[in-house]
Amino acid sequence: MTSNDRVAVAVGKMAARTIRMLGAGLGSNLPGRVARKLAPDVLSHLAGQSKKGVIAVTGTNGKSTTSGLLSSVLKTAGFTLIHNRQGANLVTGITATLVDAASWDGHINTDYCLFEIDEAALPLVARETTLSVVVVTNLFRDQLDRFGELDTTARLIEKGISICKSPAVLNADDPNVCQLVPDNTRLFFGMDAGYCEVDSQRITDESNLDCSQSMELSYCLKCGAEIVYDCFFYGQLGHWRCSSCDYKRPDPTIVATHIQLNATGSRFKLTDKRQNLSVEVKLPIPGLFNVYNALAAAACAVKLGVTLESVKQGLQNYSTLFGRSEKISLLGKPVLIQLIKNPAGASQTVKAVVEDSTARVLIAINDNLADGRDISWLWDADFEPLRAVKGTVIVSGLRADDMAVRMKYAGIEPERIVCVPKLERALRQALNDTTPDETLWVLPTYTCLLELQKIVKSMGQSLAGT
Amino acid sequence: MELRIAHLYARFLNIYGDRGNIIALTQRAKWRNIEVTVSPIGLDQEADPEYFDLYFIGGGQDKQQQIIAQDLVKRAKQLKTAVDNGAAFLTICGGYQLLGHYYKPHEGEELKGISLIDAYTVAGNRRMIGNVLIRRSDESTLVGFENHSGKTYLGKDVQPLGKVVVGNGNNGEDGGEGAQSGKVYGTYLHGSLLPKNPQFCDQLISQALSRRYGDVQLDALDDALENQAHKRALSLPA
Repeated sequence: MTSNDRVAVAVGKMAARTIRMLGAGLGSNLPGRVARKLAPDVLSHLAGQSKKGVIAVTGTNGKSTTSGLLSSVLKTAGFTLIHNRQGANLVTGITATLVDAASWDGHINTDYCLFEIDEAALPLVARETTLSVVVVTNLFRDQLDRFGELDTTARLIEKGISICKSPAVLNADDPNVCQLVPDNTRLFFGMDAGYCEVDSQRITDESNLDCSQSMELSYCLKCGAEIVYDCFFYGQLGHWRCSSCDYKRPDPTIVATHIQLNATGSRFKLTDKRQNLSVEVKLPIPGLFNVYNALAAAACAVKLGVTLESVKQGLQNYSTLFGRSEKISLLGKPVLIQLIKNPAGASQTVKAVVEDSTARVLIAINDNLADGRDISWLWDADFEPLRAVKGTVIVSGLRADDMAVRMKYAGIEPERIVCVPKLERALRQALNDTTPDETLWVLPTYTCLLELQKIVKSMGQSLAGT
Repeated sequence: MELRIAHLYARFLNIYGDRGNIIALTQRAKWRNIEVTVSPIGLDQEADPEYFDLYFIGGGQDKQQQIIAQDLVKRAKQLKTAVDNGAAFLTICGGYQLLGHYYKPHEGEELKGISLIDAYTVAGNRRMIGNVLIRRSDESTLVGFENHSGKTYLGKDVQPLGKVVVGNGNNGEDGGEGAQSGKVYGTYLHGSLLPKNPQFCDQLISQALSRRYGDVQLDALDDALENQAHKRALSLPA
């Protein structure tokens, strides 16, 4: 630590205190910005003090939940860690997390730093600190208005991993992810064919519009031909192979088999093929996408030497993060909050909603920069299953009107669609319509979630991380 | 009555929510008891030019654009026949570009288009991203979202779909957005376009049906939700 760093840390910490004292927010970014201004190397010097290294979790969907699960696993295994669990995942947010965790004279005492990192920020962070391992959850299309195209995102991640030649923990079922950093040490995780909704016959059949539409196309990195599937899960995830050359899904080391989903969670068998060991896991959060998040966390933990038994305990101990399948009770009614931000995630969330026969629904869509300004993606997500939900569907947010149209064209009767742009009013009305033995599913985009956090607080409750 | 839609390259060009257009066409026809068939047409798949009333092509990523350009050129003659037979075309973004004469990328060879629209596109240096509002010659408005770097310039045989009020449009220079030549339409508007612009959606349905049924008077629908979303979009910033 230089004297510059020490000043930067102290000023950053004071800024964070002031922000919180004034009730002006969580201070999850500004203190980082201030500290970096005073000492550009502060991130490098702080993160460099962690005893066992820096873990990075990136990808389009599931960064927060995967790092939350990994945090639970590592803590269960007895490690200390610093984690940006409030989800501030740009360079400034990561610096702010470190400043917050450091002592006033700039010392860090931790085994690991665990950071979820925005795809575009990964190269910036990697330039400042050595990433001991990088987990890539998946690469769906997300916020195309921000990056332009999916290929751009893949290149950013590849660059981020290459800078430190970091070992990578990768999703074997995602052809977009598997093609990353072929020359690095790589550990793959994936799902067994047992949980397969769609057989290969149906997905390769062009005439099956529903299915072929929800599948996202990928191309072989080696020869450019289309990727095809022997077994398909969702998005572009499945047991894939190139239609032309011999490139195919690698055999994953960390595998989930015997997957059973229910309204509140899932069960599966987690196997480490290298050690030939298995454990039964009861995951306390619903949805197939969360099985992937658990697999990513498990694979990273195994890579770091955590025993499978600790992994199991850690996953089961998990308490949900802010807005990620988070369960709370408001005015005596059960509420489940699940962030939606792109077609793959939203379609999977809708599936989880209709698994719950007591579900009521509130969807809140904003188009601020952090949400993605283009809401076209609402038309690529499958909202059609919501026809099965009983009662009204309440839509809210800056683009409530667009969501109302989406609901109508999804086949929900217009008289069941209630448009309440103001989120607080929408939430109160939805709670009013929900009985104590039902669950209100709230599906917000990112900035709606932030707003929700404040509303929930004003109702005398709090969401995780606040 | 029956509306036959050919959705070209449904699996390739599905990245910008353009499938919302197919959903809107289908639903609005069905709500009027018009039967609808949507046939996805993939690479190398035959599309009978006598059969379809409406052709749709959406937008995609650059890589997909090349694959599609090659396939499209092979069926150029058939698609021209379809136009001559009175079929309507709606093409968005990448699909629109390939209906012109060519697309010239920064480097590498020109992608040849099929010249159904008198226009050409040149790769630009700046990505034009944001909300768009255009005014058509009948004073009606269309709202959507653009996300493209290609700059399209129209020839004299074709009219723009509308004048840009908010956003960039074809090239950010001449104030035009999209192209219209008879029943053939091209535009950069995602959003999706048709759900929030129900008038235009109905215009396409009538024009497509007129190929086999002559002048068709469509029943009025309750468009309260659609009009509300349209109205809201009129005041969005670029």
